[in-house]
Amino acid sequence: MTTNIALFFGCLASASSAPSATALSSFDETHLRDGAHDMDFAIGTWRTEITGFKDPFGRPDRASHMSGIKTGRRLWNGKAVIEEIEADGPNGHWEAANLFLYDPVAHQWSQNYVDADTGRIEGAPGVSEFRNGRFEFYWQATSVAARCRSAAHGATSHLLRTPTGSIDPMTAAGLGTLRSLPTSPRSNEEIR
Amino acid sequence: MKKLNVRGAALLACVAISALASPALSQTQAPAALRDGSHDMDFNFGTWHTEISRYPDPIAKPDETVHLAGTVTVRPVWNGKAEMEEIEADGPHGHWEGGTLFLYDPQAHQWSQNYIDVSVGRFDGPPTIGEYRDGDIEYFSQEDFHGRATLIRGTWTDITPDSHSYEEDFSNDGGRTWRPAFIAHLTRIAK
Repeated sequence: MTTNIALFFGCLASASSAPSATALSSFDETHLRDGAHDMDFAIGTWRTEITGFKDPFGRPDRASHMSGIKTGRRLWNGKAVIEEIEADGPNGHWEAANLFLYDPVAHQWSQNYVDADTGRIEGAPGVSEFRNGRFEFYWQATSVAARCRSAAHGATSHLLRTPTGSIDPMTAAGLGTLRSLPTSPRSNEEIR
Repeated sequence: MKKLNVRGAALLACVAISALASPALSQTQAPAALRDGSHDMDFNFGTWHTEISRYPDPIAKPDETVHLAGTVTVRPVWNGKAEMEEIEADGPHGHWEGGTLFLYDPQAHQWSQNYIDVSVGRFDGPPTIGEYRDGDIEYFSQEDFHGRATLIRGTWTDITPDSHSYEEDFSNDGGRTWRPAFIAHLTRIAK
């Protein structure tokens, strides 16, 4: 942590004299849009209905169902989002979280998953951006988070799909879906 | 919701297995030595004013310091099983936004401190990991500093309901000597 903080300050000092443009040298900047608010739709308290497929390749028809509450909250005035998930299913209670962080140089979001049972950040983050009306996160497998494009609909629901097996979201095999619907606004105390 | 289904599925499988296996496992690994530390970081919840002294190069220039002042806000995650800390402070080099996700590993009985550099939107380096020990809370990690593997020690001391101190020290001689790298004195603004 220390080094991180120390190294950060080193970066801060150097950033002021040499802007981070070097990091973009291999990109065409004109194609990079500001995605800093692309995760705003996830803010709030949501009812979530989850269908999980344990073995999408071997047993694609075998699904299990969980339902619960998802709470998305802004950090640093919107530069990041923390999402807490609590859901119950046939095999017990599930608590997890995603920390969504925005990289303003790469113009990409990362999705960092933590399971409360282990208290550890699992694996490499998924990395994503908004693309053609969908929010797409990729990691070693493939995830596609699709959200409704209509503003009225988009404000009250979104759909998360988690396919596997291809980086092409149009041909990916379905692994699972999640649909979030808003509950009436509730305080954190009520949720907990 | 990343890996929701993959990890959800893995979790579901593990719930059944660990329910049977983990009591026996923890007994063989560390008999009676592990205390429940899940509330050891509770003192950290709330909104704090922070006064920071930072030593940019504690090894080569231990007398050079930079001062920052700001606000630290720590909120519970999962009803307090984890903590999300947001730091905003100002100093001679500008405005600093950083943060830490504190996670408790109930099997290891240890906390981890996962630092986020907001300017790049990334976790920065490996977590420091630790626990309550002799009145203080100590976390350790090993990271690269100026090209050398360096031991990092983070310590919370002087913990009262309305104040505490946090210090990070570096050692490049295997822990024989330590140099302060970051010292913060925090006083409570709000619960």
